[in-house]
Amino acid sequence: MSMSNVPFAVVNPRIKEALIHLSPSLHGKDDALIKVLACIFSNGHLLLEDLPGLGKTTLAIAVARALGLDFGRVQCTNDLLPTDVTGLNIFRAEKGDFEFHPGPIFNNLVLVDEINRATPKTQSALLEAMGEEQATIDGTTYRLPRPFFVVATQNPVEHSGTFPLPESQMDRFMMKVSIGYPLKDAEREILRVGSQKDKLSDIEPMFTPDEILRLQASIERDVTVSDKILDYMLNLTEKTRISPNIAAGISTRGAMSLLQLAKTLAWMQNRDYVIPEDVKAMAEDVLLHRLQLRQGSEETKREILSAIFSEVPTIV
Amino acid sequence: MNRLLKTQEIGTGVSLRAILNAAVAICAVLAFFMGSELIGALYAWGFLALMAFAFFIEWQDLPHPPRLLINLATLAALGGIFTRMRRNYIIEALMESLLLMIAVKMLEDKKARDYVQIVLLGLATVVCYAMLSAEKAFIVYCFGLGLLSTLTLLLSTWLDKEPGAFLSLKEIRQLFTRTGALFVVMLPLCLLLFFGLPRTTAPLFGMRGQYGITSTGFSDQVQLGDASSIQSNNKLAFRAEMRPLGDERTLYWRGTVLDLFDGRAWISSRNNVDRGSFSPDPDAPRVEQQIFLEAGNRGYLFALDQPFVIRGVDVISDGDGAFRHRSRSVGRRVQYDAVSVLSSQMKPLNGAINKRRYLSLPDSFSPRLQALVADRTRGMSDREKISEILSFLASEFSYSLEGLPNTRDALEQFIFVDKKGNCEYFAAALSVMLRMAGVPTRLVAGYRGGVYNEAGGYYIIQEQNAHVWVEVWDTEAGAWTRYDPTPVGVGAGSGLSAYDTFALYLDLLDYQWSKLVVNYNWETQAELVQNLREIIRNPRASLTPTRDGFRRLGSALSAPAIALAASSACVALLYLVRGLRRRRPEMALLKDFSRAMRRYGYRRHESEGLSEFLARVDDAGLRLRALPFVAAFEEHYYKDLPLDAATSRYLRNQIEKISRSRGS
Repeated sequence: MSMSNVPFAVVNPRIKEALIHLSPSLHGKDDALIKVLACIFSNGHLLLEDLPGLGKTTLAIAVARALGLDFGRVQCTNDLLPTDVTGLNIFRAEKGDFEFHPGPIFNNLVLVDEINRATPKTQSALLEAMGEEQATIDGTTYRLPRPFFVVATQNPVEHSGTFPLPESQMDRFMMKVSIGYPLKDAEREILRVGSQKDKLSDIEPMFTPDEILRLQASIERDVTVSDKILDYMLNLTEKTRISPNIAAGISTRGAMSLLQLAKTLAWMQNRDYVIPEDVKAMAEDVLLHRLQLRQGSEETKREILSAIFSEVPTIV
Repeated sequence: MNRLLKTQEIGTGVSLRAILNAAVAICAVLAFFMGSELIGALYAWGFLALMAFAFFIEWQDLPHPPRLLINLATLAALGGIFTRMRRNYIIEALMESLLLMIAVKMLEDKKARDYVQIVLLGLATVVCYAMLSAEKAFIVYCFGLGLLSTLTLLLSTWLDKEPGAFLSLKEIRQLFTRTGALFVVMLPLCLLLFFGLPRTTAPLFGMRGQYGITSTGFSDQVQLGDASSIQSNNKLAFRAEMRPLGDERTLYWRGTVLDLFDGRAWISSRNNVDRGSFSPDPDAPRVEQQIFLEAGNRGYLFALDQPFVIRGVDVISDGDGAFRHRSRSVGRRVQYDAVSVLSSQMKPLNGAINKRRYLSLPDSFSPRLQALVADRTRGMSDREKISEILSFLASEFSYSLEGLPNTRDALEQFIFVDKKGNCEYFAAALSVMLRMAGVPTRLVAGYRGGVYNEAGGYYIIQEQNAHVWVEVWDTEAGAWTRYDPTPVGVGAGSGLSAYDTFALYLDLLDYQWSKLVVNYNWETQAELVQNLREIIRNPRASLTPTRDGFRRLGSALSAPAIALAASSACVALLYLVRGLRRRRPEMALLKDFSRAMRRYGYRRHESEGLSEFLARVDDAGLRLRALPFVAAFEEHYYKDLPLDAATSRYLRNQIEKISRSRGS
């Protein structure tokens, strides 16, 4: 009944290949890797909440390499300006005009490290870019490259001098996941092999940006979602909205994200239809950061969500 | 039955004929049980003797008596029964003749159609039984005979094709299953008949006379001298379901009170004077009536004099024990309950009346009559005055519906010249003369008399029973006292001639019709459901009800209605279940899958998806066997594919595979 029991095995040959391809450089991060891939193919953004030193950057770079995506990185500090992210116009005396210097955001995959250290002004510039897939600098709007995918990280423990993301901004991330500490065996392997950072550049790209766009479109188009699944999801979201413990239930954007992800998961399992398990499989990652409790911790949130899932019949 | 056993011993199966014989024998026994309460002892013993004889012939394989002889004897016996038929002895006679015919049929050398005839006769006894009895055993008889007749119909068709057929035990089992199924299929027809029949408010039988303006009938004003002759009108006014009350001529059905006399007409001043209520005499007997009022009575709600409670309709009390429907002209039949105290005296609640109002006459009205009254009542007390004028009206006047005065001064004409008239003249004369003598009076319009239908337990009141009488204020008693100056014996009770034996029987049918079908409405449904719920909740108590409770239940519903409702409910439920299955065949499959998995101890929580459920099955072999079902089911279900026969079969096979490999 708990969502963690839901079986999930990647069957799709392309994705399976990618996993095998990446696993040597990403010991013990298979779970997170699958989630990142699911998020990318669902055309969503990812928030990684983890302590430093658990391989967030490695994961992001490896994925960017394997998918053949341009990689940009923003290290957030409290003096980071919006233009440091988006880019700016620089006056060139010799020509007598301004030239646009694109910021790190003009990449397919952007890693935004410690997003909660940036000032709200910078955060909102970034998040606006995430939502609109475009950036406006000095009145000129520039389209961001496609696919466009943001992996933002934040440190859950350190709070001094941070600007926690407002709830409304949290909703823009399709998933919030943690990599967590690796298992003992995996960690031993990491220690033995040592840093793989320099080897990341050796990873051969397996996809092209165009192919990713095509696959996204084909998932959107070809995976059937029955009304039965929609009803199931509506029953779930309704439960979160009427639950007395929850101050704010799942938004419509949240439900859309969940549905999009369910389709991708169905596709990753080589199915062209969605089953309730697809909805359940990563529901925690999609929904938890969107729920606001009246009181209680992250763990109670998990319990409440699990209880809601155990109340809603899958077959209606 | 014994033949059945014999053939079983041989081991070749059971002969078709033996089963048919058994079926009709049970049918006859059921019919006998139904009839035993109703028929005379002679007929009961005769029936049993004939049955025993028939059984003996069948048992010993003796030659059957010749048909002609049997038929002649039957005709003679039927003639005997019909000569005994009386107005209140119809159903019993019918029952006797039905039982006789069943017994005779049993005696015959039966062909296929004879078996059918016997069960048809059996069904006819059920119908008769339903007319008289509200016993709950009726349901048993009804269903029993329904099943038997289905079985017999099936078997007799078979017998027609293959006279010497023998059935194996397996075939018999199948036969009974099929019979049961057929019987269930037949039930919706009853349902359709009951719910689908048009709710007509017109009577079922056009047995009543035409309603004319110059015919007898209730009117809410008494207008003297507007017609010289009045036709007798036997149109039905209302029926009152109640216990019989002795002399029918003493039944006064109160309609409205007329207190104003303008010289020609008596009318009611209801709208401009506030009239008080009255207190019912606590010692007088009380009578509850359930009244079924025909359409077109101008909204007056009649009940035995004096009604003090009327329930079940939107009622306005006019005071003075008169009630009206809130909508003045009721264009449909109305059903209501009334409680009356049988008393000829009515005490106003405050013990006094407005004497001036009940003494008022038009200015200088008929000096000639005034002189007559003054002359006759000089120096008398109120009571002496009343008896004096009553005896005056009784001595010289006669009742007539013809040659009525039709002049402007009709009352004078009646008193001084014609000396004959109908109740209106008598009542008006008494009332006016007493007012002249200083005694307050008023007229009451309604009905008098009625015919009691024993079989149905109700009074029939026709328009020709319409009547007007007088209430006189008795100062000593402080009460209005009823006086009826119209000669007794005419007017009331004359409906007997119109209602002969047959008509009464037809009226019962009409009554049941209007009660069960026409008046069938939401309340009745609610009542049915309520009663059924009672039966279900406390079967013991409802099976042995008090006599009163039983009568109430019976009168409210009557047994056929209960049976009909019960069978309808069953059918509705069956249809519901079937309908559910039909709409969601996937659900049925899923249920069977879950059942199969439960046998291995795996129970799917409803919040679990099928794959999720399967993933936690430890038994790898079972998981593998269940996988094809889950995969195929999910694909069909979540791709919204139609569940065609092939897929359905495939899924069923997969479920069977799960179950079959058990323990292997």
